[in-house]
Amino acid sequence: MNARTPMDLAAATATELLPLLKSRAVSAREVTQALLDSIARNESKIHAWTYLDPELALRQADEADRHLAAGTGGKLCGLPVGVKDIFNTSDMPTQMGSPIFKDFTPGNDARVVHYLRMAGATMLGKTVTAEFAVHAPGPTCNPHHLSYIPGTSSSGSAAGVAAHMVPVALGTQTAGSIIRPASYCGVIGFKPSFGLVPRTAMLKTTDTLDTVGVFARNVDDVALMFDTIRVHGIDFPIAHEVLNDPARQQIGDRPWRVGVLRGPRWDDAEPYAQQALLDFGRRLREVPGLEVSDVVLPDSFNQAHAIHGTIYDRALAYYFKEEFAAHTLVSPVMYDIVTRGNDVSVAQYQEALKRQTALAHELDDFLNGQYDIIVDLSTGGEALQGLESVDRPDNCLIWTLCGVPTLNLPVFKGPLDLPFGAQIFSRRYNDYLLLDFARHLQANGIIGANTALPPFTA
Amino acid sequence: MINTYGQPLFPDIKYCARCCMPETNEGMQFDEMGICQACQSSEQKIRINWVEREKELRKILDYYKSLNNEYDCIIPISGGKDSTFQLHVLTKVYGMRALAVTFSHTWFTETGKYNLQNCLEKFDVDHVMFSPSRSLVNRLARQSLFKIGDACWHCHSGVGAFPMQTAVRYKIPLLIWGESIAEASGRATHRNPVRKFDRDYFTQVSAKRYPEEMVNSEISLREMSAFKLPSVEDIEALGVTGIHLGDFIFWDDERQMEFVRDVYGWKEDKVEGTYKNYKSVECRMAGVHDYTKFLKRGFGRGTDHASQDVRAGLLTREEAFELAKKTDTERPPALDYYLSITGFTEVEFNAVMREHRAKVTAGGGLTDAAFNEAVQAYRASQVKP
Repeated sequence: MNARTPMDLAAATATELLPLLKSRAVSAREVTQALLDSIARNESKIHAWTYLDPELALRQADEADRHLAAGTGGKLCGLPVGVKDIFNTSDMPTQMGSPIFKDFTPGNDARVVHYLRMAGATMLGKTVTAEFAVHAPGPTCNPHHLSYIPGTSSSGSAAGVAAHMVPVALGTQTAGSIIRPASYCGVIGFKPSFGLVPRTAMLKTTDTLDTVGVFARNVDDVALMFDTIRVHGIDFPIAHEVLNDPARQQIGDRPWRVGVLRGPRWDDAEPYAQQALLDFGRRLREVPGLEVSDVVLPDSFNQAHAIHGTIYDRALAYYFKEEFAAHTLVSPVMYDIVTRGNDVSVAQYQEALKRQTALAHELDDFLNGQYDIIVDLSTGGEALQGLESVDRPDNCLIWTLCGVPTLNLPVFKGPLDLPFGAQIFSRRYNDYLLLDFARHLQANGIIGANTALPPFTA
Repeated sequence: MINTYGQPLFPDIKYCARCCMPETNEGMQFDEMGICQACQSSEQKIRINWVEREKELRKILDYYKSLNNEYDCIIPISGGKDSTFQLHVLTKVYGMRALAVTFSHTWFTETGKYNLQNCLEKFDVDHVMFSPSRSLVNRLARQSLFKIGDACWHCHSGVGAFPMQTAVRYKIPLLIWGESIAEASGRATHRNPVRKFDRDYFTQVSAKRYPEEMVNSEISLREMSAFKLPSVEDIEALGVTGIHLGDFIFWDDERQMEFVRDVYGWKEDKVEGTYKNYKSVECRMAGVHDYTKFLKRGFGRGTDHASQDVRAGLLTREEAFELAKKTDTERPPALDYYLSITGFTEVEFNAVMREHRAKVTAGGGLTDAAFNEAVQAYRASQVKP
């Protein structure tokens, strides 16, 4: 990256910025200011941020500059990060998209925020979330067309990264809340395997589903963030073993075994989206080192949405009973979910959890030894018009239900010239293998080194 | 062969629907969803205004600072992760002039010795330590098995009594402990906390027996001075108050351990009875303590840690059960040391533990037969389906 105008800095990826910061070619203050300027230009249209204190951001940047000057900065020193507003932050409110928590200041950092701060990152601000990270959308608009949805619930993080307001941001996924907004906003979204990123000091909605992930415009940025926020070491024996197991994380000399999936929600996808995925499969067949075949999942996966719905509704009813009691401040959609969840018996809920476990094992068995990577549509098409629109049914929640790592690749455009993506997923815990596959696609020109579409200029 | 992968070890006792904690845990209560209080607490924490609680803490600390005593507070320390973090918070963040107090269990590991000395150096605090005699510890360790079903009465009792004695002796009315009772014990929640920390607290919560009850033909009352609580009159005259930091600041013990490890050079090490490498790292008897809990209640430290990992989203419940089963059921090598200092044979040791199990689980599903059958079945089973 040669030119260093504020616009360039705002458009740069994390892995472009960090060497510049480390060599002190640019200062953390310059980078943060460039992003704040970008936000000032576009926020009134996009509404990606629910809390932003420029002075606080610049103070953090100055602190980073002091560390950079002293050579004491961590690996992310000076890098601004957007934080979905369901993660606690010690110096900013955590409002969770709900008027019940307006101006709520928890007074501590979520463990992932702590990890990022320890690495030297600057918490730029809090990004818009759907109410309690569920369905009722926030005010965020799609950066590519303001009257179209950005996807819920990590909408602010996805839109902020897409619109060059921040290079990387935290999100969470309980159904499709990372992959969908990443798809609609045209950025990379990564939901790691369940069990690798700690959830302490953040809102939980559904215990067996909620997973922390990231948005970025570059695969290496995703890997960098994932390395920072995930757990490390022998205190986490399963994660430690599987993530350091070459048999799981490296492909070796053989070709990649790639499946192109027509999943249970294939018929709900727009015809142009179906065609896009089939064409993508054909493109992949031309990529060196790939063995590509078509995949149909066993029929049992047709039950995934019902299982997910039972768990999701009952868990929300349980975890949000206090907020439900103050129902005048709860959205109608949340009210409906909680009401539905209250009708789920404990026995039905327990049975659904057992079926979740069984389905996760079935997917693991299905993938093991047959496929390194499965390619699926991220969403059944481009974003829908109207900010209150509900997402089309898609397969996202199946992969969340099964706890597998999944990554949105911003590779398609719809008839309105809006982006949508393909998601790739792998066996649970094969996260680095998945990221390596994305790099392989990048090396072969299937995705760019900086995948963001042009910045918002309307 | 029956596939029990991811299933609890004992099919006939009730476990928390969300984590791995069984009904045999002391003070266990489940709600309408079958979820334990520790799990409930982990959700309540996100809804608590910790800024307000911190203001309460600051008010308390400011008050005791204003007394202008020689020391503002006593911090009971072992050199473990929690006490090291306490020293960080209280000395570095709040500027308290603290007297560090250690009741030595006399079973320090080399790592434990290092961690204790390291935190004294790093936080530059005055320190008082009491070590009971070796022979007394050995005799109490034997008596402890009969009385409370673990090896550690002297430690449970001493870490409560000695700091209180020191408080009275040095006229320092504020004692500050680490994690809240609501955090992991399942005996309280953040919404229904145990905040009152009175004279008998430690005896009731962990020691279970007063020193007088430990006296026998081999242990005299005059040897028990380190374990005796100060009188009610002395405590009231001084106005001794005890608080847990975890009731006032958001407690995340694993994150805090990583912090003191990375920032202050606190060391982890292998700990028997669990897959985590930090809890009770200072004590060579931790494995025996946790094994006796397993023999008595059907779960050990591995279950505690696996349950915490489930709450933190770091394990599925079935993964947690598998990890817990592996670590809880292992006979710790330290048992050999325990047997050597107490004179028990292993047969005698197991017989005493069987009696405790019968008391704990009277009328429940963890009969002696059920216990042995489940453990044998686990040891004979395949791990992965």
